[in-house]
Amino acid sequence: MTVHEFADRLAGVVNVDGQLEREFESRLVESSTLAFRVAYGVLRHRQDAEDVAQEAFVKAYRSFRQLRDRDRFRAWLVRMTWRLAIDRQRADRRRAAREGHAERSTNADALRFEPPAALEDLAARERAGRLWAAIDALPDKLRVVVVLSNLEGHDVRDVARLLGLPEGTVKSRLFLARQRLKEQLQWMQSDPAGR
Amino acid sequence: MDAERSGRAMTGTAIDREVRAALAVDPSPEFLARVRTEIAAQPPAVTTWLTWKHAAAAVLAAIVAAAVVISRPQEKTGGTVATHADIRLTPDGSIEQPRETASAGNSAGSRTQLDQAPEARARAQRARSTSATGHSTQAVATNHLESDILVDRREARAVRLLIRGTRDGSLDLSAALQATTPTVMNLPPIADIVIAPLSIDPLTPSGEEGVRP
Repeated sequence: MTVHEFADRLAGVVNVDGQLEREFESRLVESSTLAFRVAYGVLRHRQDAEDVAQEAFVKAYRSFRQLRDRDRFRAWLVRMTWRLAIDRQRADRRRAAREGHAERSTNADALRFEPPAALEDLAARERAGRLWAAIDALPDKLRVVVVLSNLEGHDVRDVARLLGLPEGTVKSRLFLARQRLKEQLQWMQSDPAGR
Repeated sequence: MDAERSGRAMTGTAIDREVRAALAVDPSPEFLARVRTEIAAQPPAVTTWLTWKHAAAAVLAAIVAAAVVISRPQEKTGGTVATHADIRLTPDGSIEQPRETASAGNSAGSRTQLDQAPEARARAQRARSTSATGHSTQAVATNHLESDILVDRREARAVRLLIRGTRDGSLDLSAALQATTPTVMNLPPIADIVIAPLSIDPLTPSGEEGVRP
């Protein structure tokens, strides 16, 4: 291969790379809120959720040649963000337990939720705290279904596509998750001190 | 929501509504800019691609070089095999081989007595069977067998006896040395040869036809 041929091939690679950059930019714009909300659904802390979503986007950028398809990219991004957020939450809890603040941390998790303007009153805040405490008590596979099904108007099919699961599995997990949430919330309401 | 306010359990729809409302949070305006900055700090993908190609080429070159290095000693060993012209008969009746060939096939030395041909054959068989890589040793062994076939054992013994008898005087070769080349016979000219024509007497019938006399 001559120097000119190598230069031509390199220019072609750079052009392809520029096209990839543009595609990734469009994916970033359309999926940034989704990734942030997935992380927020686990961590319920704006700054932590942004950090996790950013980490997921960096990983997606490194593997973007294999993730050029839009649906594949979104599914991969959601799963990666969820995993990173769970890891971050567990690490936070382990650190809190090491520091001897396990009990305070559990309560803080519930109170960490930043309620939107409509829920500013105390009753709504308390109700949201109970709800998230119940969601946190769910197994991961039920928890992710609850969060994703309430994001961006996703239906069962969308959630199934994002998680790479059959629709029937998503339906049954969603049903089971709601049942457990109802039981948990009923128990919490009957025994508020048990939180 | 009325049911919740009254202290009863939340319905599935109410739970979904609560979760949806809780997740209706947008990232900060700086979020996208932060992600772009972080991604810009990442190494470009083109470097990764070229590195992969170069690594593959380097691994391929290393494999080829290793194959060449490994195969070279075998060729060198094979090159020490003596040719037919290298084996010569010495005056005392033994066969002299080149040193490399003898050292490869015979650890005793560079000279192999013709009487030891069966041993050499056996050594060649042993070398062939115990060879791990096989190629070079087999080549040497095969060449040993060829040298045995070239000088037959009986012929070699006859030559040796001839030389020994001549040396100690038990064999007189003077007659053979004085022998002259036979001359051409003096034959009569072809024209002087007369060949008499053949004469055959006719058969005379006796008695009736088909009846024995």
